[in-house]
Amino acid sequence: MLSHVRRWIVAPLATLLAASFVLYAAVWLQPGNPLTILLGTKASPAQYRYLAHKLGLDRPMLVRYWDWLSNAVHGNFGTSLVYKQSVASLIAPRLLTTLLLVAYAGVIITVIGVTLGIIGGMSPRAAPYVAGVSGLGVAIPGFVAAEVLIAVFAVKLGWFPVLGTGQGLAGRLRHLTLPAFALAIASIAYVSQITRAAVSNEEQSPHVETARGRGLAGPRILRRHVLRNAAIPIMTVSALTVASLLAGAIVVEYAFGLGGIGSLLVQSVSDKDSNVVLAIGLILVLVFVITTTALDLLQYLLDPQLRLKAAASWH
Amino acid sequence: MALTARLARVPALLRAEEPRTKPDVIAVVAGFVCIALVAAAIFAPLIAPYQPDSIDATAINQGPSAAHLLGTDSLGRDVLTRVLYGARLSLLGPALVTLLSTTLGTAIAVAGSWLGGTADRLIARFLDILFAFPSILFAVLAVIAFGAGLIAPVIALSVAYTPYIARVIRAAAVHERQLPYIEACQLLGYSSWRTAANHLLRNLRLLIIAQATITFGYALLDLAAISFIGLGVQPPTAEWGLMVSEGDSALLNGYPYESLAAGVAIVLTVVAFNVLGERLAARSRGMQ
Amino acid sequence: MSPPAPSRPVVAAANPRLLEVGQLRVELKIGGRWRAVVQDVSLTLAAGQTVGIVGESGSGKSVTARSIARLLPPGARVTGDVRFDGEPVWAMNRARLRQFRAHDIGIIYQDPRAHVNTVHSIGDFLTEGVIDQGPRERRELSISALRAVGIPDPERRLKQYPHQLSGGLLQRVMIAAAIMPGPRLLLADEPTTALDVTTQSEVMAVLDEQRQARQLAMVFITHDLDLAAAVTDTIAVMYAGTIVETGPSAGLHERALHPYTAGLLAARPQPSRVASLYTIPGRPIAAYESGTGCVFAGRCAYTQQHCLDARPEPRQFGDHVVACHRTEELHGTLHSAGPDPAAPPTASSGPAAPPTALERA
Repeated sequence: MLSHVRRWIVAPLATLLAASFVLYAAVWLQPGNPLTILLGTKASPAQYRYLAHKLGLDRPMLVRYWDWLSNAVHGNFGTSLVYKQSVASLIAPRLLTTLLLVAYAGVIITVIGVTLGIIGGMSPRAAPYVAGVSGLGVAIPGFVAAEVLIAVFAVKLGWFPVLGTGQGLAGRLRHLTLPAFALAIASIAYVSQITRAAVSNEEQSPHVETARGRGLAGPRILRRHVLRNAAIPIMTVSALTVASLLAGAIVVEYAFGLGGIGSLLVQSVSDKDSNVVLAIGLILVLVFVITTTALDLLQYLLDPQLRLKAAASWH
Repeated sequence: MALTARLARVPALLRAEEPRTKPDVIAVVAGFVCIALVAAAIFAPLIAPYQPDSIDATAINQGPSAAHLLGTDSLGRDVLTRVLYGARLSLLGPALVTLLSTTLGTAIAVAGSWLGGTADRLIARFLDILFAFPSILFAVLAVIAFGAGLIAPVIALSVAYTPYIARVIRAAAVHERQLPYIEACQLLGYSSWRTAANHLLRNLRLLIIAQATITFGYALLDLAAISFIGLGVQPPTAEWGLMVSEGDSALLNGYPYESLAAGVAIVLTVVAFNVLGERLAARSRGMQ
Repeated sequence: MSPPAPSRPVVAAANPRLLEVGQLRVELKIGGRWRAVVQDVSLTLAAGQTVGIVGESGSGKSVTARSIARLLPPGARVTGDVRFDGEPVWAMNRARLRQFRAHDIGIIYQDPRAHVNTVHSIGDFLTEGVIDQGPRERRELSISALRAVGIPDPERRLKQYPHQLSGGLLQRVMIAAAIMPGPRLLLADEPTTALDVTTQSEVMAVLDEQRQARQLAMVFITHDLDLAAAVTDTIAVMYAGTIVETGPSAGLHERALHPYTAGLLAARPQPSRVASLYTIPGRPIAAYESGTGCVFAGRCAYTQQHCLDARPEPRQFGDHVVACHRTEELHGTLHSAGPDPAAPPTASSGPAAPPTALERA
């Protein structure tokens, strides 16, 4: 029991803590001075000192780190140096856009990727085509896909708008369609590869031979024996992929000028808006750690054999 | 032959005999493409028809023609030339990342599997922290701390990829370590270094190379993305990711040449390296 | 224990040709090339009769058994004839094939852990093989089938999962699943090889008992000559994808007419005598590794030039069918070499066996 608590609660929390420190250290190392952003370059040394003291910038780094972290845990991420509003209020609407984008892409990935994988896994004739297309797909990064999609569907054909976030649900979805596909392409390819391998592996397994030997019909075998058994690895990979979409969203939002936290991150890095960078960075790390931990837990629960193998692997 | 000399050959004999297999056509083709790309990068000054930064105001945003095989960009620079020159940085970065992360990852993996116990667990905990960061975020953090350009993202990605490589190599190293020939080495009095370096690593080399090749592809994608969002290589230097970004406004006006040429270059390179890496990985699995 | 309740009435007039295999040849794609794994296998089985197919790994016995049920990998090249009750199995359309597999044959595989889906319960596993009955009837059938194979407390077992049962119990479940739909032919592919020795005899006892009670025909695949002799009427010995000798079990496991069979008999460890084990020199080959002559010529102590040139046709000799050129000369010698490995069969006449293509390779 104790080892379970350690593995799924303490370890991830420790990891998060250490990661948050790395995050803070990177921002703290940043050359350049928030004071010059606020006061300009022509203020007197006394004014700098006063503002530094007021903002708490003259305290040692560890104290500042702890201060930031304890505030962050309560949802207070400080104020944006550039936009002059609370970081939390700055992020909230943008977070919605990003989540919508990721969810949209996630649906596309799951539906298309898994379907392609099943086709490739069950049909030896289709398999090389699926493998070829997916091999190409994984090599297409989000920003290249973005430009190609824009060139074809927005500029040439005019079916979709290029930039902006749109109004209302339908408008937003329309604006998000090309970005969602750009984000999804590489992951569709990857998920279809994993699905194809899992399905093909199950299809050739002895227990499927047993089912065939008893005269069961094809669709029934597919459902009860192939997919049912392949579901675990497929679900695991799909979930991990969706988690990684958050990182990919950074680039895609930038390419499409979407108002999400990804493009805000890029903007804030150039603007040296530290509090915003820290907040978004923390969100990304949090999502990553939570997703990987949850998946690890799910796998452990579903597969009793993993409990024996745990000794051999790193966990 | 002296007894000791004969005994010294035992570990080599006990190692799995490598089966003779016929050459893999697809892997060979992929290998050739990879070599051709590297050659194009190295010999760019000799092959390229123009200079990468020679601006020609009269030839802005032109499509492919006899004079400009891949067209021109919004400053009238020849796209083909910039793609060739861009290959230099676009391939150098991933090469460095691959070298660093593979070396570091392999060293950590072999050390962890060899030492076992507490050292192994400590290493695992440390790597867990790295696993918490998406690689792009790590690169962004490095840029924040150390400024934009190629160096900071390269170092950041090398660190970010190390745990993934270490995990794969470690699994294989743990398996190899238990094989009888390792024990034979130890009984013969070989030092740990010699056993690990000469024998364990040698058997893992195919897997390591396969991993490295696949890492190259990922590094290329990530570094190009960093340059695309403006945190990597800066203009006017030619680099594929940056070119995709620079060609964006021309693309919106119906002149996609710069963006698409650079995009195709990226995809082609990554596919070639991925295919090669996958074939090598399949071979290394077949040998285990 | 009690007489079973089969789902179809026992056929009163036994069919003398329930299963016919005629010159079966199976080629599989191995290493990118088509290679024969079964070459020219023929056998006939009457209803209620049993045949044991005995051979080492790579002899083609499993592929032969699977060919009967048409369970080969897609793209396998098959020539020759497999007929069940007169009907060609390889010409059946998909629906008829499913019916055939569901109602006429039952298959028991070697490794129950791999062949039973671990994510479904035992009850689900048993009932999914019987499609044309209602849920209550299927449940009743499952329970009585579990009882028939000697599994106590069957109601509880229905809800359990495969990993909760021992190997022996799981194999009994597989037997139950095979006999439940009331087939006429059983295919048993090394059903006890994966089990430990004590469990082996228990499971074999159950299998034999149920087979006899239901008067099922059986093709029994094994590498164990003695085991085959215990449960079958006839034994067919396979080597390199072809049958080298067929004979009644009672006689064959003590005397052999084919040098390979004699070698197998001689190689059996005998607890009553301490001596180094006899082994047939060389290694067993697959069908595609055999040349134009006799498949066993490379390892046989009695090989002559004629053996290398022409493949011997199976011929009747007494109550055996043997594929050997020298049966008439050798049958006396092999007789005495059989049970006594201390004197391995020496080349009694003719030149020493020249190196074969096998050894030169």
